[in-house]
Amino acid sequence: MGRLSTIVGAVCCLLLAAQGDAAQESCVTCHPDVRTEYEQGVHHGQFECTGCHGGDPAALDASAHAKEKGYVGVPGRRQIPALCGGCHSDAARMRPFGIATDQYARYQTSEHGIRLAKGDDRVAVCTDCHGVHRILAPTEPTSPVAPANIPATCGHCHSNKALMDEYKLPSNQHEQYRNSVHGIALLVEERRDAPTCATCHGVHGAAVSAGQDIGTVCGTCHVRSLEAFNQSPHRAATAEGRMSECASCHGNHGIAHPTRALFDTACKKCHQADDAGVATAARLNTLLNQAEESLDAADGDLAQVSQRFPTVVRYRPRLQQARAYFIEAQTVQHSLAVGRVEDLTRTARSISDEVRAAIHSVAGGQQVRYLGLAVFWVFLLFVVGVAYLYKREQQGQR
Amino acid sequence: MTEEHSRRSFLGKLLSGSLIVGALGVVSSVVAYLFPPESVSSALGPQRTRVGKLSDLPVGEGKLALVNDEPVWVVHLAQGLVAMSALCTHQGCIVKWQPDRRLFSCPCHQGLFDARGNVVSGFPQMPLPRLDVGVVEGEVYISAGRARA
Amino acid sequence: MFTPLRDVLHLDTIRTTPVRFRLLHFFSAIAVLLLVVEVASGVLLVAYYRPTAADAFSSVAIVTDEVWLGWLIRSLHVWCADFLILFSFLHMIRVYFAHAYEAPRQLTWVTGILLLCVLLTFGFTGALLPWDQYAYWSTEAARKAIAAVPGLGPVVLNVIWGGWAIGEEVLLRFYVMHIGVLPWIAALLLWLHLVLVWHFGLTEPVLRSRRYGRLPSAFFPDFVLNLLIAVLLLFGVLVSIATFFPAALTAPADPIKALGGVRPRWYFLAAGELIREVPGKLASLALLAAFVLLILVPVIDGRPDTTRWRTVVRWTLGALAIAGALLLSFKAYVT
Repeated sequence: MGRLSTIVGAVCCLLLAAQGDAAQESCVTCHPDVRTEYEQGVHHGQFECTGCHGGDPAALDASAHAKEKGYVGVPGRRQIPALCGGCHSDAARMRPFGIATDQYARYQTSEHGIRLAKGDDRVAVCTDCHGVHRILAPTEPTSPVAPANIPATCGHCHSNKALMDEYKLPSNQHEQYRNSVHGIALLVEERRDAPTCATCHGVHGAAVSAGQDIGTVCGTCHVRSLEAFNQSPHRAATAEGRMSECASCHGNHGIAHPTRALFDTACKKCHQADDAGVATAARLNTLLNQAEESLDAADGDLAQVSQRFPTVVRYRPRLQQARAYFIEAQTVQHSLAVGRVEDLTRTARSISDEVRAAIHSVAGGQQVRYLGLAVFWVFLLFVVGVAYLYKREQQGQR
Repeated sequence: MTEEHSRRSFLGKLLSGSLIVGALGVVSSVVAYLFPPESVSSALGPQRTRVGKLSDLPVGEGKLALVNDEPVWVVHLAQGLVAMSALCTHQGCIVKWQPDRRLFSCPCHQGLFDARGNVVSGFPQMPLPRLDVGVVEGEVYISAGRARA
Repeated sequence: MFTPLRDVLHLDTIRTTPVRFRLLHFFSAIAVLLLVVEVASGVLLVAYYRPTAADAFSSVAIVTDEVWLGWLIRSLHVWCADFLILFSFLHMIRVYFAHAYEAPRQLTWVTGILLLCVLLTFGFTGALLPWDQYAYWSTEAARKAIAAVPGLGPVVLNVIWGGWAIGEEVLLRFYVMHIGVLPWIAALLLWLHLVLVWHFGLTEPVLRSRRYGRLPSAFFPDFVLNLLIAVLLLFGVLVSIATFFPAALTAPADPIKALGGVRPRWYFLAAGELIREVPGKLASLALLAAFVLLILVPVIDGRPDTTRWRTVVRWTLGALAIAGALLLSFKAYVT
């Protein structure tokens, strides 16, 4: 079957090579809607209908579908990867476009490719993700393989419960992802660098990562967290297969923004209530809570006092520095090194305490003003009294 | 009569005395007011911050300075001096200049910026804001405003 | 030691009437004191204020926070401005009802009204100087209101304002007016006003008290000592108000973040409401008419011999005008 596909691919390539300037082929006479679609895609101008479908590009009647002219019709699903790969794996042909040529090779290593080779043609093939006639570059926002659209494209099949049940696969990944911190970054905040399904699972060679691969995948972006994790006892646990690195605590698709509630929920999955691990978790929890409370209190003081004493806002950069130590502590905590986290949180707290003291001393000036006012009034009333008595004396004289 | 007179003159002296004391208080307050505080001398005064001597900053090295209470990196590149804010544009941690890699690295999430402040990798999306830097008689100064380049 | 001063200033005598200085006469005296405080605090503020869009706010913030008693100077300046205008209004009302503008004191009234207008302009230009959100947006609202007055509005905007949208240029122009132009005009008008008052003396009050008929009161010690006590107490009250209610400073001016519900200063509420109520060209006519009527009061009703009927009319008209102004202000305040 693979050989047949390769032959078909080669034939189509030859046909393509035989194309001259791909102007009007007669196909569009009977298939005008397809023409509109095709003209919006990237293949338009490179090759036309007969490049994939074969047939007579000059005939205006049913003889266009002549098998002698290589008419294939709609290519079968199992033929499609080889058909596309016929050009897209040809390094010489793809060189002018600067496109990689490993897609077909990777596809054959993917879950989709492996199952397709075994005869299952319900798996995704090229056209399922890239489109059929209107194939757009991934940089186009409306392309189904644009980063922001990839979750929906994969979800087309992977959210289909009936379909996924047959493979004994879950079908809630897309739903989970949409509500996760990565999904929100991609779909709501429209960050170009947010991970999509393809980022973690691979683009054409899509497969599920497991065990130690998970940390490598997450660590491509979360570099420091992986560094810290590799210094922790959990590294050994992962090597022994007792946990799956990041996914064990943070999940895989529905990754929520981590809060300190994770200390209560995640550790319990493996640790007993009284073992050393839980004690470490409790200590880290306390340290981070203390630091965050101190920082939030300082922020609140600053906001409140700045209404009366506007120049205290110049303490904001210093508070930002304090918060930077806290942020670093949150990353370093993955190493479970309580000592290092303690150092960082202590520094954060001491800076924020120093700023709070400075803010309070500025605000304390208000009390001094009231005292000064009281002293002023005492003196004032004294002078008024003397003036009044003097006036009385002067008037009495007359 | 004399008693009245002396009482009146005492009251008169007391009145003028206390008025003089009050006037002195007002004058000394005005003088104290006119002594400019520290921040006026620095913030509204000369619009530049001294970083150090150019000779103390070899090529490839950087120095962290405080400009308007904000940390700023001054780096001596082969093409000249550059100054940019040291606050990472991701979450505001203070980046470190690593001369061997010629990169600014953020200790929080490993955001990386090149020597011009552009993002190389990591979570930051915006480059580090640049500031004007110049050398006057061998001394390196940073101006308080932001550079446009 | 002070005897030569008394002789030089002729403090022992008063020029004309055997009238005791009534409490009502103190409105003007308090206004003068407030003016002195205002000028003094203003001069001190000039030492630190920067009239540029970049620095204005932070210079005011530094005066408020860092400079010794800067908060007091600024709060005094802001509060005295309001009180000064209030007491000038009260003084004007007192003079109106007392018919003190009758011949030969018509020019005193005219200089007084002009002085009041200068004070209002002082208040208007000064309000923009802190360059905070309230300053920017209340001036912007005023600009819209002035521009909406057909005919008169654009003239005012171009001559006094410079015609521009609010920005660095307007700030500088307002600052120059506030410290460089208006003070001279105010000084001239005030000098004229005081010279005229001094020359013609104080009039008899319409309502005479039982105590009328006592010995003529001397300038010194009666008026001076009363004035000293009043000045000291008033200064104490001002400083207390400035301490308990320091002048506000909202966020720095942001030209693209509008401040909702911003009202102009209280003394402009009536005029603003009048412009809003009266449609089209009538608005400028109404404002002009109000001003002209006010200035020409002593021309209309300057005869010294006043009948009961004229008094009744005068009091009714005055009460109506005040009521109208208050109603307009109230309406502007609540909407």
